[in-house]
Amino acid sequence: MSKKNIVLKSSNGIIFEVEEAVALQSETIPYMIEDDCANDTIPLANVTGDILALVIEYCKKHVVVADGDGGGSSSSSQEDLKNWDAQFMNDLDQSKIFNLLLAADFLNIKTLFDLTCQFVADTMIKGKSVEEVRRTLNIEKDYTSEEEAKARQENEWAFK
Amino acid sequence: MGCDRISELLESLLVEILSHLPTKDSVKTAVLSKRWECLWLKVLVLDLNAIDFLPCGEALVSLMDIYLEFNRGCCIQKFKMKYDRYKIIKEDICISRKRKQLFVSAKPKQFVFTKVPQCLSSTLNTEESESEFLRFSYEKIRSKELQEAAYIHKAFSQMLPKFEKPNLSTNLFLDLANDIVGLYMLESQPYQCALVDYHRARSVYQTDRRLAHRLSFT
Repeated sequence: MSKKNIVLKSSNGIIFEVEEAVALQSETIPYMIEDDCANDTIPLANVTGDILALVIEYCKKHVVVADGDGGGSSSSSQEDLKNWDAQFMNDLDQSKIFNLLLAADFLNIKTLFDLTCQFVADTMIKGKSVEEVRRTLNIEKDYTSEEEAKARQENEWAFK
Repeated sequence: MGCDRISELLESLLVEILSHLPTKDSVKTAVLSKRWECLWLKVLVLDLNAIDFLPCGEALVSLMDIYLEFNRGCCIQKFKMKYDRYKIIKEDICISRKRKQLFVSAKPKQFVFTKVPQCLSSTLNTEESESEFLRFSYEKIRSKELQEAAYIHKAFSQMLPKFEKPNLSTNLFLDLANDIVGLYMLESQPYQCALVDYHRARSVYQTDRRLAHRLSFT
């Protein structure tokens, strides 16, 4: 029996046809399928084509591993998958990362959402000084020097 | 470029990102800008390292004070306390498993469990598992075992009757280390917490009683 395909349409009108198992890693899409006719194109108004392509790339990678999990090599494939995830995130610029995070949230793909959150936390905030984080994320300081000193003092232990 | 993408995110997403950080890093974000000032308090994950609060743990008590007050009635999703001297602790535990006694610090005479609860010793067996804290659910630990744990400090005995409520569905976290030892009890709706610092038993115990009282420890 041939596998059922689902057609997704990005906000800028780009069409992607994917296997059902790939698309169903999103917990949002099933609701959209129920709402619309099953064979229709599913419009994703919040996700642009380049980001949707990334989401699909991620889901394809992860659906394959979920399928082939029956054998004894699952620990090495888990390891491979982790490395793949790391590489996947590393190749993205900051703007894509935040768009991907929003897309993962909207499409409700838990593992991708956690992956992007963890990546942002680890690479943009963790272990960095306040100044470094501000620079990395382009956050404008709106505290006065006194206010900032007070905020630091309130949480002094964290700055030791 | 040059655009502050992260601060545009919904607060719930920012809190989610912060929940993937050690609490120390998440607390530091309070200084980034006004938008970030209180976000760390909304993170229902505490991931702490005991060494940050040495020598006396005052900062921990005050952190818990602020945090618990802010999150009254919420349920903490994860609590983790890491000890840098974990290796020493683990060695002691390995030896003590054979003797059926558990010494939990480099100064063993100070804290001795006379009998290790079964669930605790099995937790300790897991090598380098992610849980550097010892975690077991309330259902697994019987009050008798708790009483034995309580033996190590009178403060526990004082609190014990309150732990014996039959229908508490809680996670109990028992943290063992040289410098800060605490018993945390987190319960959903509303959660409750008790915090004990052995080395400053007197003064901190006062704080804890105040804290326990304020969290309607019934």
